[in-house]
Amino acid sequence: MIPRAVKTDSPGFGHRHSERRRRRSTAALAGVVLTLLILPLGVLALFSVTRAYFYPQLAPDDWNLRAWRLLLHPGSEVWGAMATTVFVGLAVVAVALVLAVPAGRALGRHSFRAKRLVEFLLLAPLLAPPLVVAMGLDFAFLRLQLTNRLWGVVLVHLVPTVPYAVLVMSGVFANYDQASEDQARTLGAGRLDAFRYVTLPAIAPGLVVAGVLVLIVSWSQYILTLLIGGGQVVTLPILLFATSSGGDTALTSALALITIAPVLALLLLTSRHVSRMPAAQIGLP
Amino acid sequence: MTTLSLKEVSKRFRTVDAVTDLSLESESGELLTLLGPSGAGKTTILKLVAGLLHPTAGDIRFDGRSVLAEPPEKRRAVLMLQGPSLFPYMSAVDNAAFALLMRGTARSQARARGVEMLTRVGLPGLGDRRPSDLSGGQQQRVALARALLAEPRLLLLDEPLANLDPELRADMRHLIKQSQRRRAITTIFVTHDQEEAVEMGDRIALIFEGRLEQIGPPRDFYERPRSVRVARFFGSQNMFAGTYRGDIVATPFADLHIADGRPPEGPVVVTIRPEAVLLGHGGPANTVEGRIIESHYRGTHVAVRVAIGDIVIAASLRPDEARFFSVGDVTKVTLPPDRLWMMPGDER
Repeated sequence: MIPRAVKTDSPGFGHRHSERRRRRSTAALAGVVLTLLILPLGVLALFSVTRAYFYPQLAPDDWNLRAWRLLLHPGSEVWGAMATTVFVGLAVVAVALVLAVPAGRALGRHSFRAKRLVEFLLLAPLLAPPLVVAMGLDFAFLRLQLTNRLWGVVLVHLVPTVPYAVLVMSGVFANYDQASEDQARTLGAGRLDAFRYVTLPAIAPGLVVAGVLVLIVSWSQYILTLLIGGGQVVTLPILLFATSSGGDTALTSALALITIAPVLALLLLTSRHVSRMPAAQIGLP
Repeated sequence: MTTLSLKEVSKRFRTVDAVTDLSLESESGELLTLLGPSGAGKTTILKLVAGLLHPTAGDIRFDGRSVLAEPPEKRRAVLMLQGPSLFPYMSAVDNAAFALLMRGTARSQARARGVEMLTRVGLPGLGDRRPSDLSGGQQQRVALARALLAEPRLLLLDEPLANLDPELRADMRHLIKQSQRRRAITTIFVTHDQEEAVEMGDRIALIFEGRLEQIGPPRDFYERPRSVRVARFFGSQNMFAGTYRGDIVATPFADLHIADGRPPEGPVVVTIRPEAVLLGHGGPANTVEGRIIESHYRGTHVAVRVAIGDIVIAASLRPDEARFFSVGDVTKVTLPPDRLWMMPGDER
């Protein structure tokens, strides 16, 4: 009689089995994610091309591109809002990264006594309810006469974005071996040259991840933009909320898609960088 | 041709003393190995010299001039680290020519010199490769080319061969030593490998716990270790506690005459290299009877262990001598007075 163990212990069998199982579960997970992501977008797409679409109907019966024509018309407000959102987003990314690189480097590389406290303070704006933060900031910004201005909005977007950027960069620096930089210094590179030629290429993928994260967070800001921008700075979310309170479902749906599209495209373009980094390295749990 | 001197240098990290009161002089053009167990502070010393760390106390001088105020990029004390220390985003040539590029040499000229140096370290035609396309040994050669092209006043090598196969290691040792000799670059070579230290070093500085334990030519560490710890680090097998008085050390198995070394009278530890122990004939002094309890053929020699009472002495015989002895034989054992070495005995 052949002992059962012989069969299951044969080399490769268990491995192949678990490999197949892993692949299957990956596929399942991908399916779930895609469904959750695509399905709502599909519904929005349907809503955007019809005037009326009610419960028992499987598909709308009245098709038209009215909403899209309106929004993509050369004179439409969408273009201005898009430009504002992009400008604010890029400015926020630039400033946040400039702040996050030295901060993340200090947090990731050194351990010091108050490190935990500093980390907590950094995360504090994310932990407090956004409305509370916004009200307090509005008061401060009013005093500083930063309200109703583009730069005020850029500045206030730094509050929810810098923590993410610093978190990512501190993870990057914690895993970055300083030896290369030391090496460069003894070979005659000054601080700046060593950073530019040796450190920067090494942390570039981390910068992309941090930048994308910051852009997404900035892109989707509503309350802070509304309060500080005072309705003068119109970004896509501001326009979207205004449209949605107008009650035109098709218009709202189309605008929602327009708001999401650039971010989605950006994510797909950079997913290579994001997914290639181990979670630990970008400082996420 | 630069002399390096450390004057009472200390480095403290918060509560940890990494280096304590270290004074060291290298001669111009010599290769000095810094030897010590891992964690002894060897790398810290290199970083202090390179300017990557600042000493808590003391002074560091190149050719008698303090360099403490100079940042690393001005010192021209070039570090070469263990493992893959090449810049991964640059080709082999750009890596090699890095120092020249940083100094503002024209790119084409820098590259030409890079190519030439790569050829000289045995990598002709590999200049356009990325570090990831080079083997570990080739990477280390590029690193050497890079360090040499920086025209260093001091070359600081931090276990540069630790990750290489034994064969490659021997080649690299040779290449490093050859390059260093030819250019007479004063070199500090850090290693925890005692054999490597002996092979590479004109002199060895042995570091324990951030302090200089002993400095001198390699031979001293085998034949004249300053302390029991040094002797142990160099694999001394025969160490006997005794009491020194007059010219005699009283040990549990014999009163031994001593020709050399005069520590203060009192407790001492006596050591002798196994190859200095004589078996068979008996000599004018220090001869006792022992019984051979073990004998192992080791190719170049035969390792023999001799019991004298309950003390065991290791001896080393040439294979042709060893034919006359077999396990169980009782024989005369001579410890020549001029080969015995005494160390202070109160430390453990």
